[in-house]
Amino acid sequence: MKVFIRTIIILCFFSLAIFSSCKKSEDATNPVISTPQEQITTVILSGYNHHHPSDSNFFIQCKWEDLDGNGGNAPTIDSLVLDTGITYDVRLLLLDKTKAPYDTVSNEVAELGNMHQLFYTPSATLQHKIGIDRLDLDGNNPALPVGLQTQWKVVSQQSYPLPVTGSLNLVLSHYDGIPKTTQPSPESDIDVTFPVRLR
Amino acid sequence: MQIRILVAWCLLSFAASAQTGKQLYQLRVTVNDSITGMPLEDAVVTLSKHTHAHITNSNGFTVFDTLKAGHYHIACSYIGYQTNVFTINLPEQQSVVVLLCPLSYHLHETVIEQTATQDSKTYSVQATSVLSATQIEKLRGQNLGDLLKNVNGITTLTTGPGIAKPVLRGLHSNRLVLLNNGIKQEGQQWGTEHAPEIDPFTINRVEVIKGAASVEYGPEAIGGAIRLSPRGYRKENGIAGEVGLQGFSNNRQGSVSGLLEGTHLRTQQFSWRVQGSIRKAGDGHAPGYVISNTGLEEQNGSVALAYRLKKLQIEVSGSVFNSKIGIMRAAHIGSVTDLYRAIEQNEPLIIQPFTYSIGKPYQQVWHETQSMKLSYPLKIGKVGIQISRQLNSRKEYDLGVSWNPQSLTQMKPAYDLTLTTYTYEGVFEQTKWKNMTGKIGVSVMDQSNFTDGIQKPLIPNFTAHTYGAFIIEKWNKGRWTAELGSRFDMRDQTIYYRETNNTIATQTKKFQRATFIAGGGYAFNEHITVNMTLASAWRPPAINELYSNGLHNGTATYETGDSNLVPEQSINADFNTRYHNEKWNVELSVFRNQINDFIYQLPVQPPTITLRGTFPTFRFTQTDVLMQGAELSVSRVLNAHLITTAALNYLHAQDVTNKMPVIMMPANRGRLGVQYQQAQLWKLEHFFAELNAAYVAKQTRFPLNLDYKNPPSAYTLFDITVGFEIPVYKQHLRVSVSMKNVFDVSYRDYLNRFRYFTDEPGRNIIVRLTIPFTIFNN
Repeated sequence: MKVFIRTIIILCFFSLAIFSSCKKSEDATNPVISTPQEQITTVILSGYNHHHPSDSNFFIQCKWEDLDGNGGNAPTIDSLVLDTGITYDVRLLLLDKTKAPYDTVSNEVAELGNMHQLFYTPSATLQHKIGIDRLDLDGNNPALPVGLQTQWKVVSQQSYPLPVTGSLNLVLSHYDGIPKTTQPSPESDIDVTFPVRLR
Repeated sequence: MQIRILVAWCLLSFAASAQTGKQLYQLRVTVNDSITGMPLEDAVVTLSKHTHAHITNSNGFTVFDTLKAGHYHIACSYIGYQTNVFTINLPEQQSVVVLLCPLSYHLHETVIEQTATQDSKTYSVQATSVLSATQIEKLRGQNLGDLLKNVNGITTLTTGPGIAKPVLRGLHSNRLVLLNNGIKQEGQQWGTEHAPEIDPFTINRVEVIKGAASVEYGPEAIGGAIRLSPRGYRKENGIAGEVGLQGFSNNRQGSVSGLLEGTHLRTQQFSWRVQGSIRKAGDGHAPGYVISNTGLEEQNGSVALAYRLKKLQIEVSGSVFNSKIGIMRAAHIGSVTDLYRAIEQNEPLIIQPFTYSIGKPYQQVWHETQSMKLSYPLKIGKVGIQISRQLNSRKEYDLGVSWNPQSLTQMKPAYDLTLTTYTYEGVFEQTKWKNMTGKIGVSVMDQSNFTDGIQKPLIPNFTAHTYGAFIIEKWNKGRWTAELGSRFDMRDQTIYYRETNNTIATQTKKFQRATFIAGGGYAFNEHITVNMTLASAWRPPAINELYSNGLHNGTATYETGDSNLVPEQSINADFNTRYHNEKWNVELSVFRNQINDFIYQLPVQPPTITLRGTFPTFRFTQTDVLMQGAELSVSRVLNAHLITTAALNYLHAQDVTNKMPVIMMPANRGRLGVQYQQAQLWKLEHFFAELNAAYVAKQTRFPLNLDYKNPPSAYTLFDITVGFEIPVYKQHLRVSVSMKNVFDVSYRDYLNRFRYFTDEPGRNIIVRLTIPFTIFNN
């Protein structure tokens, strides 16, 4: 009987131990208030005429914006309207508008230029009509482009009829744990396309 | 890959390693119930120096042919009875009568077998496949999915080399019930990249019930059930144990497992078992390159105690599973353009030197189970009660945001899901009355899920309550068997989420259905039996199918749920025939499973435009599908040493509404094997050598223009295993060496979700060593 009682006590302790184990479940009826991680909601291309920086006729302000993130409402995408024969200085701005004040992600990309690179690819219809040079370089040796500052040369319209429509694809590649080269990385942070019209 | 297959008890019916010698003998075994003296049909009789078991006929009788003189250990087991192990000596004892005690009067290894979910008698009519302890030992160290793949009819759905889920006749995840030690495994099983959270080292026996098994196992068993049983308790007084060591060359995996078990008190009323295992692996290797970030770390442990108090039996057990699995880095793509670029390459775009360290992305999974089982015998039957709690914590870590260095190093998971499940079951098993046996049961399940993490939640918080009641009766007389069963289940499920203004909103759904099973069997003679089963099953839509909404990295799709989905309903017809004699063993199963309102993902317009490009959008929707197929297995004993085996597996899955094939269905396959065994080879005992060839055809039936890449080509793999026992200090060390994918073939499998990015692992040499030991014995 003594052995029996002892065993029962051991069993009880054991059951207690396993039923009150280290991980506790949380209250499902009280969902967490989500604090979404940093994201990019807004891509802005802003530019001006390289030769006449203050000529407002040639200002570009073109926005790709998806405030509610993936899914939900579709993003709003502006068209780029470019004048032929003009050289534009263009700056890329990346914003996280879910934060207050807005978080300027492009500044962080600039700081981490060694592991980022932007690629601007005009569609086939725009081939040889727009040339885009990335002006800003990273700290690598030899230095590689980052692509937040660009210069766009729109060829003058003598060789083709207007208007021309096409698109411009913008990819932000990141190189995390892999060496940065002139090629896009397997991992893209941004892959957006703007409609383009030349006039 | 397949070391050997063993389909149902037909294949078991072979005396594989009939001994050579001048004089050969027969051993005749009769198995009876020790209380009633009635013969026990379908009892399993195994003989040492044999890998195949015999099954008794309706007279409780079986015979082993062509045995050499000598000592043999005989083990007789029967569900619900205490296993009896003893030694006989041939030719002195050529005929033995074995009496088995019902567990109602004993407390021994099969305590677990008595619970509601563990009675295989009821389903003997349905096609089942078994992996025995001997076979499982040859597969030790692998994950559960790869272990289960050795059952004919099971394939795996993998996500890189580290994550594998079993697929039975084309169905998996929420359509397949896994029972671990009698408890329905409850994790986040809806996810195709969520492997079952079960310690493969604790499994000692696998039984697969092919075809709908909803009556006994509730909704979700629409595709069948896989029952995993742990090792039984020690039978003799004393304490003993076992240490296992395994080494794998491909991912340089090392694993150690330990077991300690004891039985105490003169009356053997108290037994216990403690088990633990550690596994650590680095990156896998495809032929030619490293599959980077596919390492894993796993630590598991379990404790079980059993006690008998007069007639009342109590079993308490607890287990912990903890695993960290790397997700192949090159498969974590940002945009569809990235995916196309990856597909164009023959090799992954990110290949780094071999390492054991696991970087992001990775999964961290914790699963714990506690259970208590009680059983009390009455004159008219037996009452069993089972209470269990499971806690599943899944944390998935993403790469982080590349422009913020802090987010790259921060340890916050993208998804953090905690699922807690309580189950309560009560079962009454009726003893044989007028050729009838039966079972009545009730079950309640309470579940709650808590979602956290820095990403938008994949699935919302929810609570679910499921209530079920069932009855199954089986009638058996002479050559005829018949069974009839029915079940009713009710589930109500409430989700909790935050509106945009952070107030809590809820949504409740209720599902209820009845299911039935009817089956019959006839034995023409001792060689040929036929069985037919007709079963219905249902499955309420899973939480992700109702509510998921988000981007799926790795498959580059945007998934949305549909909260208006209705339950799936199936009718499953199953025909199963077996033929066996001394030389041949043939089993054929043919099935037809019609699932109405089958939930699947349909591409919808328009695609989702995101910052990372345009992703095809899939919405969960419903259609009627018809799954038909067959499994054939043949084995032939050539002589006392050689056995050849063959298996074929065919599946045809058609969406009948849209008149097109169903996506992601396993390809047809076949397997050939030769096995050589010898009881004594120099100083080695139980020597065996196996050569297997597995052929997997190309899946030609797939919906057009739905996938990024068409199914990969057919492939053939060869495996070799050699094993033996060496006696050292009164113990028998067990050693085996295998080589998988002998010719280092480069191949891809259609059911690997990372087939876009990488080949499957190449050659793998595996060394296994098991060291048993005894601490004391009396």
